[in-house]
Amino acid sequence: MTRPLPRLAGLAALLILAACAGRPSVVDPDTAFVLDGTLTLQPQTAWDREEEGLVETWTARGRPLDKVAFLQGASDGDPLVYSFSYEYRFVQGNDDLSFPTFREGMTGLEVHDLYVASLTKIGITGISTRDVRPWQVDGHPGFRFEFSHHGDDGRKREGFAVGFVLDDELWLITYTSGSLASYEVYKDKVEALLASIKLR
Amino acid sequence: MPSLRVLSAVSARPLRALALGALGGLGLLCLQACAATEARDSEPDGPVVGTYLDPLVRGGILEAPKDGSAAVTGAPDGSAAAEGPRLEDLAPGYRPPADGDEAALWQSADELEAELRASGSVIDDPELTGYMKEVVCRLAASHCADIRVYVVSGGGFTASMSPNGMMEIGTGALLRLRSEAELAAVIGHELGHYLRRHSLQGLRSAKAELADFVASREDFDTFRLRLRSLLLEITRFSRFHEREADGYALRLLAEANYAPSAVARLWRRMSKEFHASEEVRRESVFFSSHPLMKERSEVLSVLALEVRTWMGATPVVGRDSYLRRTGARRLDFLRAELTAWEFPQMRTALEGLLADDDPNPAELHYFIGETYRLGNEDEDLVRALESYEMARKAEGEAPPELHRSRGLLLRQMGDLPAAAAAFRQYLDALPDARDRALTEDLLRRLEAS
Repeated sequence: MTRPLPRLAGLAALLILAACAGRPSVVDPDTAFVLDGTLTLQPQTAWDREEEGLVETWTARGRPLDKVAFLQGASDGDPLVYSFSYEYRFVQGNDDLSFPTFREGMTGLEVHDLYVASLTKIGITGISTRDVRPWQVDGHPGFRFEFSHHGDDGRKREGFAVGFVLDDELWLITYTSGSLASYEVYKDKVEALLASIKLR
Repeated sequence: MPSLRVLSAVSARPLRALALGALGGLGLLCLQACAATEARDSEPDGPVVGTYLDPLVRGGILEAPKDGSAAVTGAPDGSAAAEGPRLEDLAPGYRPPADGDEAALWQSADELEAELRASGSVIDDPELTGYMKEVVCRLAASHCADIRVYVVSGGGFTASMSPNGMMEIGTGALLRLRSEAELAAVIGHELGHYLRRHSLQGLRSAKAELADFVASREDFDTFRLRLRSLLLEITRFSRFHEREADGYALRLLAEANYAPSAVARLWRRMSKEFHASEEVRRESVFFSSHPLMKERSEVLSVLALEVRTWMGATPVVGRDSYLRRTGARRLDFLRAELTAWEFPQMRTALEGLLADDDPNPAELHYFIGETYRLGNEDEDLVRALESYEMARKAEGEAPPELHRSRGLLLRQMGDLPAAAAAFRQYLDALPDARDRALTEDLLRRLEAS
């Protein structure tokens, strides 16, 4: 496998964007929120939000407890791990490492595999997925799956991911909870959030 | 944390790897970091061979050369640790004094062990782990009760040993081994680190070098030179430990009547696999060459022959016993290997298994196909399809995911009817597939198009 320059250039761009992380702010629960000029949703809850590169992260009680992450359009050749799992930025810059990348034309099955491979590659352990199924966002076809894995603190994380490809770019939204017990607490709020999505 | 870590470019748990590396005086990273600096002093001259030879001489298996050319003083030439007396081998049941640096080292290792247990990366298979422990106890009976073995899921050839008796063996290593004697060679190497207390030696050496470095007050150019010297010293010390651990492996194999040739055979294969991955990483200085691999296979080949003459009974190779006792987990090993995303080296490993009369070639062809499909270079797709076809025809049994992968590949190549047929085969072969609903959805779209 080769790593052509354009991919590295894309990666560099992602890293520069990542370095420009914004300050946390609060999402107005009653005002429609627009992501990347592409997707509108109704927050319905006062989420704390942070934007970092392609990734927008929302949390209600703090990221260790609950986290909704929006990957806003990964392009062909983008490594999912850099653009999505920014907690693991310490692996950046190691040119000896090769990471799974998004490829234009991928099916939901392949994106599911890509997600699992990306988490594994950055050291997440005990990953399992279930109920991989179709999902629709505002009438647009997508996919959904449930997942669990171990966190760095040894505790199990529960969550689910939904995704779709729009204009050859991958959008992925994940909800991750610090434990099985807390998973249920905000799951319905996240489901409501997802149900409110409109594509522009 | 001395370790046998050859081919994995990234740890399954990067932070943990860094911690382990620091704990062991950078031993974990040695085999990678040494490569760039070792070219000039890699010839197996007297002192180098002596490092391999020393454990065998001390064990009464081989005699030291009379000309003294292979004399070993206990540490690499010029290192800080060479100035002190040779550290005694670890005694059975040993616990370090509570107030020393060794106790702190053990405490750190205890913490890492607790983290490992909770990490979800340990394979929970008492039979498999029990087999590893049997080999440990056969090699080092008096230390049997002190050592805990963990089989850890991950790609690449990895194994490591902590000063507190925590031994980790990666599934990538188990995938690549051919016999119980080779397993014993890996375990013997790790036991060598443990018994020689290499973590403690590494820690003390690094501390001494670092103290000297910090105390220096020099201009920037001198500072850079001293920094380079410090790093070279640490890597030289790590290489010394690797050689000594190899010598220990040979000694333990001989004492337990395992075929000593397993050590050299293993390193020859690993050297080949390393060079396959080197092709792709040639832009990286750390992987530009790795003479230690070549040196190991050459020196150990010669020493293994000499050790064999010392052994009386026919030594045990144990190919059948190894395959029987690890075979049930082979599919898991292969899946874990794939997640390392190091495709050329995985192919080399699997092609090596195929060449060695593997009992399930269908499974191997499938995973070779996966490395091509996921590698996703233009010509790779055709190679992937060829590998999947071989998997369908070869002896043994490929996993049901073969059909899913064929479906995805054929769709990507534009053969939609064939892709649909492959997905149908997948759903027939695995009715309870976790992705059945999404596969059916894709199938409907393919059939409608």
